[in-house]
Amino acid sequence: MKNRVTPTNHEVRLEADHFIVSKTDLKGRITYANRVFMHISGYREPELLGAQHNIIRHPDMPRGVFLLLWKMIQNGEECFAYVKNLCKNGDYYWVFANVTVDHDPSGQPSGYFSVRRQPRQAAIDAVTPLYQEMLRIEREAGPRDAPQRSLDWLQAQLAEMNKDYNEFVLSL
Amino acid sequence: MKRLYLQTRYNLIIALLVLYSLLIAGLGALGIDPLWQGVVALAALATGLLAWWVMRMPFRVINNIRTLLGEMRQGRYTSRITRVPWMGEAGHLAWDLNEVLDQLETFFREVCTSFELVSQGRFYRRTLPQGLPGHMARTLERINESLEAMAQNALYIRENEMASQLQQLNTSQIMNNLTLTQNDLMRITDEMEKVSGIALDTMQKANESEHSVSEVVSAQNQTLQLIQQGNETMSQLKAMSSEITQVLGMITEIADKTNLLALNASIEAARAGEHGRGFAVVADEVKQLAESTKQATEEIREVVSTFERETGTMLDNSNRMMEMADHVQQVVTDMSRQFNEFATQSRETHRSVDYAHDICFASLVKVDHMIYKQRAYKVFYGGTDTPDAEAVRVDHHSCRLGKWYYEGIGKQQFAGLSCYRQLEGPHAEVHEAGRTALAYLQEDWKQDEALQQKILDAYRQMEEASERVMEVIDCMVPEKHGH
Ligand SMILES: Cc1cc2nc3c(=O)[nH]c(=O)nc-3n(C[C@H](O)[C@H](O)[C@H](O)COP(=O)(O)O)c2cc1C
Repeated sequence: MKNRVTPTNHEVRLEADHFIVSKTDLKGRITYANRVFMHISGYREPELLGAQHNIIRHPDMPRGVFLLLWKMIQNGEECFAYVKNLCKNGDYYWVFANVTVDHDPSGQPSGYFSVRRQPRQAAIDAVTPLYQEMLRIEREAGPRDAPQRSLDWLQAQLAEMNKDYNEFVLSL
Repeated sequence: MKRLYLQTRYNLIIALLVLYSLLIAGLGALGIDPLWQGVVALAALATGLLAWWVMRMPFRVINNIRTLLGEMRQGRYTSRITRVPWMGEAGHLAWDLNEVLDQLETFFREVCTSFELVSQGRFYRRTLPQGLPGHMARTLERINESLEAMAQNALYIRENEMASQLQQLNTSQIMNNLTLTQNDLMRITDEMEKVSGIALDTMQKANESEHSVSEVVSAQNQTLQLIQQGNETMSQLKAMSSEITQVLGMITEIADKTNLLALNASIEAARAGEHGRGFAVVADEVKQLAESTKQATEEIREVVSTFERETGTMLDNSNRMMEMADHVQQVVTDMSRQFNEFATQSRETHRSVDYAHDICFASLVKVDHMIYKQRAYKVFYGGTDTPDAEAVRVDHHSCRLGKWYYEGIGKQQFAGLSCYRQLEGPHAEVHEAGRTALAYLQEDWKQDEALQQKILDAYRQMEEASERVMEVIDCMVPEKHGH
């Protein structure tokens, strides 16, 4: 489900104790969102439940980041990311997100769980140029190769720093 | 009586109310229009249904909450309650529970993931207390402190492991090098021993030669003396033969005079005639005697002159022999001096070689000690049932230095030195300390700090004693050689 919201330049800032939680099924369809989620994003529960999580995807986010996120969580790893999200009214809000796998009682993956906290401004300042470069690479690569190309570039940067992706994100 | 659930009770109340309304409607029907009667009955039923429906939803929520709490009791925090609009307290209850679960689930995931990473040896992950309520956040902070400590510890362990691996590498490298050096020194010491033997042999032969040459010199001197004596005798003989010639002259003169006298006497006898006949016979006899004396003297003179000639030749020869003997004596004296020098030099050589040999052996002993110590250290890493451990168990009588000391050259050549006596104590101590360390290492020292201290002490004592051994060895060789 693609949203047709037009982004504005207005930022909604999270408070220090804001704690945004959502859960999805294995395909990324939202199965639960807490009240802060709804409060910040401006969506009501019926609009969210069953919707793809990209309902709040902001066009400024490079697709390579989400490609990596999915690779990691499908591999059973947790994934950290600084994400710029889109509100229903077009405003945006930055979060420091952590996504992990949900397991059913038999231990099989049953969905994903995500917590978002107030991000540090310094970290946002650090990732913004990275995301811009990734977006540029994606525009150049064309829609089919875009995510992989920008992800390749990101991983080359990480290799140069000799850091895991998560380690890098946490160090920001 | 079976206790009813709240929902059943409410359903019962609703049903009773509906029944009650229907009853009132029925009673009222006696005085009212039947149409109204129907409307009221329907209204009562509808109200009942509505009441049931409105009540059903919160009860569903409450049921959900119950299920959720049941899962929580089993330690599962993943489920949530959704779609609870317009449910007032029940809705709030559900949301509050959801958000408590959000916190709990996050809390446990934080703890789980960070510890999982730690168990994989990755220490960058800390739990994120941000956004969680007081007690949980504080717990996570405490956990972070222990994670920090674990990271430090892991770093320390890795450093230690690294150091220990390097140390092991170094030790085995040192061992290899030392073993090479040891082999070299052993070969050199052997060779030196051979060279020393050869030098000793040379020295003895030189001494013998020197002796022989001096014998030749004295024999030559005697010959010279004999020749000189002969020479003198010859000169005397020569002098004597000229004296004889003189005497012979005198005898000839006497014979001539006698002859003359005999002639005079025979003349006088002739003159005397008959009376002089007898006298003439005597004069004749005297004349003949003089004649034969002269003849004999001539013969002797001839012999003597031959003798004189021969003696002259002999004297010449003897003089030449003396010159030659003189020359020979010079040559032999030169030779003797050279042999003397040669003997001195070979004594010198032998002394140097012997000194060098002792130095070599001292180095070998030092290397042996280093190897012994390295082995003792290797036992620490490699275990107490290795060939190294076997080597460390050897006592101070059976190692190379021990054999040298108690049975070999050491005892023969060094026993008189004060250093020799000083060596025994520290040497025994090195072995004792090594064996003590080994014995402790066989116990369960990893859990026992006191034992660890003892092991350290044993190693330390081994080093200390070994240092004294080295010192004594360093002064023993100069002491023996008087340097
Ligand atoms: C648990 C979970 C949480 C997610 N949260 C976000 C989010 O906050 N913002 C976002 O843009 N995408 C989020 N995603 C990723 C989306 O599923 C999606 O991959 C992404 O928005 C990119 O959209 P696209 O696949 O249509 O390009 C989340 C995914 C999961 C599984």
